[in-house]
Amino acid sequence: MNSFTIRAARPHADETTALLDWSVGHLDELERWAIRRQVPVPGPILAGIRRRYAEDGGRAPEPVPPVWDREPDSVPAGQVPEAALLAALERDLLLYAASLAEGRIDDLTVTTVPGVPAAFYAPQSRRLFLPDWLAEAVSGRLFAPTALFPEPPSATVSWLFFQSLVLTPPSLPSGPAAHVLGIRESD
Amino acid sequence: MSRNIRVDVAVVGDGLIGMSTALHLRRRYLSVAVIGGTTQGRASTAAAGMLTPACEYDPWMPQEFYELLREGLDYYPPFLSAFGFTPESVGFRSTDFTLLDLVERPDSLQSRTEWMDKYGIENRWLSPAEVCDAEPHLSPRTFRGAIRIKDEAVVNPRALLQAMTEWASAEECPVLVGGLTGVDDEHGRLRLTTGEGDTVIADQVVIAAGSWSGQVGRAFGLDIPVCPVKGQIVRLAGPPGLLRSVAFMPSGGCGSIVSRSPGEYIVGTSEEYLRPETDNTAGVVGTILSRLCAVVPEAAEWRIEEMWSGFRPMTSDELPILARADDPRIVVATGHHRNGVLLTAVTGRLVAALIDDEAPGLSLDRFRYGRPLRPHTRFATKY
Repeated sequence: MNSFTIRAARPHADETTALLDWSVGHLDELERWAIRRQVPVPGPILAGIRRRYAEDGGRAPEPVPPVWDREPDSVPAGQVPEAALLAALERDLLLYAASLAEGRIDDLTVTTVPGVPAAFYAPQSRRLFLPDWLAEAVSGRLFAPTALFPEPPSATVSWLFFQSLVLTPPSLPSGPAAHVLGIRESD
Repeated sequence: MSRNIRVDVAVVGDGLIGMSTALHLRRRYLSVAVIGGTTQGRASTAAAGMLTPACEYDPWMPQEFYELLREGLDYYPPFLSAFGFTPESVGFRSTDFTLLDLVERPDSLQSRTEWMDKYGIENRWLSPAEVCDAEPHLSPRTFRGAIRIKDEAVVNPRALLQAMTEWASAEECPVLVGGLTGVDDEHGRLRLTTGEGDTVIADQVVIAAGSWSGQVGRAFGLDIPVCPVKGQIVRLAGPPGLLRSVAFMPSGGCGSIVSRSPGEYIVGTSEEYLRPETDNTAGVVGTILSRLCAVVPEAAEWRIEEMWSGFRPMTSDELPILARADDPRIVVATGHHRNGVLLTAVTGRLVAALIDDEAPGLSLDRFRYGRPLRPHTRFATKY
């Protein structure tokens, strides 16, 4: 019997800084991530990252050691404002528990972070960082109704993890977690 | 004036799968009416028309699916013959496929020859030089080699759909428009109402509504979990005879270059899960054309004739649903995803057998209605 557990952790200011630094160093992947997932990153967040990229030539400082690999400041998942979303994520990832177990993942610690542009995953600590604006906008439908498809299919929220960008050093390419971990989302 | 029709079987869906089903049912001397829906964005007229089990199958899928795809290809010639369609009239012809191992892919495709050998697919790995010998218009800057697959086929899905629709009309199989708007029970039969006010009373119903099957299923109280997966296609005109095979490029949403007729090239495509609009977009079309011009440099001078998009119906396990539903009066035939054209003929035959309570002749257990299927997830757009 497979299991899957979601924990919650409070954000730290230096995590936001580190995630923004990482984003500057991986701007091409970040832009592709948002466009190909129809994720509307708030304009000011993206503009700030592009401005820094233009100023720094894409060279952001590398956090040493990465702040997202340290022990998280855990809180009970049911006591955070995003409790309902975390419960949905736990329920939906349980559907993939067998595949996740092959990647030795049976738990995640989720932190909702203000002011960051994407969902990020730190494999060392199995921490998932979700932007606050994204956590507030997650829908139970695959897309909004249109004239052609007035009844959109229902959707899982598992993509918040599977499609999160894996936090790699600035010199290494990243990619969505499912791809990096070799997990088929349709198996 | 609205019509009131009494038939053995009503088929909901007038695309390739629905029409093939109607034709096979008529050949069994059953009375049939077809209820069509929107023609906008349907997969039947959007697809390139590649009939290639070897390129479309992936080893993670069950072997039964390969057997279905293979039967889909093998059954095409007898299907066309049985209904009097000449191969030329529907653009059917046998062709080799060149599965290009593009350098843009991080991993090589060469290992695919192992399972192709296991499944008895006639194939051969070609070095870059051998690819140049086989296809002199392809640029070796773009590939590490290729797998050449013998004797698969292409068909023109638009011509095939038109031929089947004309056959149905000639065989007194009405095709009603306006979509399905209501379903009621009528003394054990199903009474279906269309948007034009027509009524069809049927003993049995086939749901073959492609990407709209989920919506149609709800009208019958069924859960048919398919999502629409958009693909964008471009048609170009260029000199004839530049390609001796179909170029298949499993990169992004799976690129392909199909010569539909001399000098007519169909190029695609994307897999988009989150954009339910029938438009063409700069990122997808730009990437498709950029890849085309890299692989076939002369294509930079080809003229763009047309572009369009369509929605493939996909289940979360990427396998079709070909089975009776919980309500035994209803058979579901949908979820063909990338293989609707390849499986058009065989699906019609299998569904007609199911309607007649005959053994279908293939194992359909993996494609049963009600198998565990997850809700869909937000895949990234591939192109």
